[in-house]
Amino acid sequence: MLLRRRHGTASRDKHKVSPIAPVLLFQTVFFVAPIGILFVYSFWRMQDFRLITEFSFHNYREMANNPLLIKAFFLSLRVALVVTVVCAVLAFPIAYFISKKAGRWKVACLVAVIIPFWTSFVLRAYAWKLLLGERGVINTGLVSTGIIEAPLSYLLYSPFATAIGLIYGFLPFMVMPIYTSLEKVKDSWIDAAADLGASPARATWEVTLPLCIPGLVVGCVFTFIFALGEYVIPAMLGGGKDLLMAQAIVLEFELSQNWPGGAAISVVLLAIVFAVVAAVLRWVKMEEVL
Amino acid sequence: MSEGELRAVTFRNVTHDYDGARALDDVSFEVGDGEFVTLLGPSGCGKTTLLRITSGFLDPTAGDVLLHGKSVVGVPPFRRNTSMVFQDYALFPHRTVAQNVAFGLRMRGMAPDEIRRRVDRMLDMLGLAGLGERRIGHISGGQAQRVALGRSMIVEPAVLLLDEPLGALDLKLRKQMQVELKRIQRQVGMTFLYVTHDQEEALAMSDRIAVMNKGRLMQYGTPHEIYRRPSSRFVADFIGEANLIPCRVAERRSDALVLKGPGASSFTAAPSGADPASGADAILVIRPENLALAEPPVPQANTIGAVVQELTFLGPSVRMTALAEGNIVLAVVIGPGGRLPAIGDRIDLKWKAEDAIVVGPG
Amino acid sequence: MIGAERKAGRSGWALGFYTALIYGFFYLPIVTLILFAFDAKEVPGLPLKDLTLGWFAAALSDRQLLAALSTSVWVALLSASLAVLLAMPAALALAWVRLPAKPAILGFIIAPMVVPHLVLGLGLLLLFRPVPGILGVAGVVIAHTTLNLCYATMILYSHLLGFQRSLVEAARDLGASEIRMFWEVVLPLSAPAILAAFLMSFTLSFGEFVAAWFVAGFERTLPIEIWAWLRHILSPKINAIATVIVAVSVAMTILAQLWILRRRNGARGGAA
Ligand SMILES: Nc1ncnc2c1ncn2[C@@H]1O[C@H](COP(=O)(O)OP(=O)(O)OP(=O)(O)O)[C@@H](O)[C@H]1O
Ligand SMILES: [Mg+2]
Repeated sequence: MLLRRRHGTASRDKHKVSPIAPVLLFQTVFFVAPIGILFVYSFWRMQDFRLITEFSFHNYREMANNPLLIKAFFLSLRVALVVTVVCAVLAFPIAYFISKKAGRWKVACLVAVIIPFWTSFVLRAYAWKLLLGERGVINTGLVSTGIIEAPLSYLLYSPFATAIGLIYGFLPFMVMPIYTSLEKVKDSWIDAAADLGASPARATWEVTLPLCIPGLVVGCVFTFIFALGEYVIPAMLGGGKDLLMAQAIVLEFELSQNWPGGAAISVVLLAIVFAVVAAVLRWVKMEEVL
Repeated sequence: MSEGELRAVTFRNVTHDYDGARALDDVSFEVGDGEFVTLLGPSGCGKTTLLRITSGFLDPTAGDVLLHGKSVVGVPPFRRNTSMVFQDYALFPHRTVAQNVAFGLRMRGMAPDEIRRRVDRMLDMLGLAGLGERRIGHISGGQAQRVALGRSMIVEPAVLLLDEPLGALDLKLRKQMQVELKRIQRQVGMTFLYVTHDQEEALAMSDRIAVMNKGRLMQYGTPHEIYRRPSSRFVADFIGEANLIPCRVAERRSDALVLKGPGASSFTAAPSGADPASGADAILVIRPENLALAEPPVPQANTIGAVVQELTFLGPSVRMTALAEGNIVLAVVIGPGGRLPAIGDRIDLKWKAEDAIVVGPG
Repeated sequence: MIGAERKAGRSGWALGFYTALIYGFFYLPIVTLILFAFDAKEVPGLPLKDLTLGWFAAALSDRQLLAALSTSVWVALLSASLAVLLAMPAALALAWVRLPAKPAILGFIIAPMVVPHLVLGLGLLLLFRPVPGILGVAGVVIAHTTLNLCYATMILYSHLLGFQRSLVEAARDLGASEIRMFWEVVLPLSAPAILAAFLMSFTLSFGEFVAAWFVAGFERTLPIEIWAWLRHILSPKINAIATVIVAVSVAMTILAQLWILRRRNGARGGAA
């Protein structure tokens, strides 16, 4: 199939395209079409549990007038932003350590970062429930050692718990691209900076950090959009009070059976995601970092 | 050389181990202020290690390093008044040429105006005027080399360390830059500690050469001394071409050293003060250009019989290899106008006693 | 070359200590999860009582859990195979054939990476509304294949970018037909990459919850089953089954990553 050169140029062109056709077809049917349908649904509406297939901005108007949704929207953005910043700050030194200091343990250190990432989110959220709960490991530990008197109730079922879970979930995704960038920063550049009088902190600021901006940006983008769209962690750790966008979408779908309403929130979420990605793609070439 | 102040760098019994593997073994020598000193030795002999110890990236396992008389062991690189030109130049890819050159001054907190003035002057001196705004990826290898040099020189270090700075250049540019480097060094009077494993480069550029092998300092001296008076077989063999004739010391006289060579031959050489004891094995070293055809009548002393094996024309001169008694291959350079024997001829080769060097067999 | 050998200093120790802390953060939850699988108490929590393997026995004889486990394994196997089968020819073409609009095609293939699984699940649910029969294993396999495709394509694409083309040309030169060349040269040399792509896809699918949740119909994958349990009770049975899953994921991740990282550290060719 591939690289067939026997035929004339015209048929060669046809053959060139054919190996990617299955993927493109698959993606069109099972990726583009679903999103297109969501988009269409978002302009329909539910009335008396029946779907009204008339075009209107009803759902978007409803959304704008629903203070709970507005709150969820801004809380989602805030949580995602905080998680992104915290992850970036936490990840840089680790990536630096792995890339520049780990020596022969480098591969082991990297794999150790990736392993938690490939463990199911449901299980990881459950694990944090065990840790953060009122009778969880942390509270029991703190109480029995006398550091606190009564268990801290805000550890679980709060935006704090959600943030912890998300940071835990996406930290590896931040470490990897930064590490990849750091691998391209030659040791001799860092040495040269030190040699010319830059203290380690200054050398990091002047040389290492600017050269890993591509990795940082990619890591931040992924963390931000993943955190924004994540459902399992807020649903299991966040409690029922302060909803995030993903929870709001599920509520609309499951509880209210308001599919168009849920579709509209999904479209807004998608719009933010694509806007962020598009903005970043103008600055960083994906292939540089992935 | 007598006052401590005058010595830019002093190495005192410097030893370094990498995880138990010895890279430097008890190296001691001094680099005078304004001197151009070259570290010369085969790959893996510890040259880079010594430079990195000087610049502070490594601490010696034992021994001491002094800059202008003050020990710097334990002082981190950014607090040392040394500067390194890296083999791959290590120019910052996210900065322009001018920003690269300005880096060290910025780290020292100099005023922007003053920095600009000095950078411009440095770029001028290096023939880089007008390239200041270029990105590092957009300059040639020779230009990059000069940017690296300027970036290090602008901070006026007590000693400039250069790790095979010409290694990445092609032969022609290399020769050109050798001349250029030497000129710049003379002009600014800066101390250069220069690493190369190219002996021609070392001979051409240095005030003094430190020949190293397997982590040891084999000899330290001017190019002339190193070439004319190598102190060991290794140095004789490594610097320039050398004919090595195994001998035994027959007699140590005050005015000459008498040696028994292969067969019944007997040689004399000028005493050097560090000659092997009587009866010890030794190596007689003679440079190819100091060997000549002996016309009859052949003198008794300092000649050796051989059979011509090969003649190679090198333009004006001819290089001859001949097989002497005891299966010793000798190289001879016959200058223009000299008589040329034919291949297979039996010849006698002679040399002057003062051109013969005696070293230990090790 | 010598760069690695540098003085540690105080800041070096601080960095090492910090890194150790973060690794602690990474593994504390996982260790907790595993620890309670061996504790005899009915409700997982401190302090630990007696050690037991009873929860493993209980979990592995629980019909519902086992059924979910087998569904998950099937879904993961099918979606990973499908993803690799679709991705391999695409990666070959992208890496080796001059295609017009290659960046656009690459971007299109990677796009599902950034779309929240939740949104994809909902979209597929709406798409399948006219054919409710698809909901179930088929639906989940489709959802997971969509998610796996981007990762599988990227892994294979980066491998093929770094592939020594002269080998292919040599084989052609020696008279191998295209099909033979593929079987005799390209496939054997790509086996580790294909395995890595497969394992990565398998692991991803095996643990995925949200998208599956929407399109699973009355079927339950293991994450859905666990999710349903966790709504009602915390039981060490879940910890036991989680321990098994973690062990399997860890093994697979190590297998897959060791290959990817070795390549990335070695050849500078491709972007993984
Ligand atoms: N980081 C290191 N870890 C262990 N051994 C090292 C390290 N760096 C160098 N060595 C060893 O120390 C010895 C000296 O190395 P060094 O780099 O100083 O040699 P060099 O003279 O600069 O060689 P070259 O001319 O090849 O650059 C070598 O045997 C080398 O293998
Ligand atoms: Mg070296």
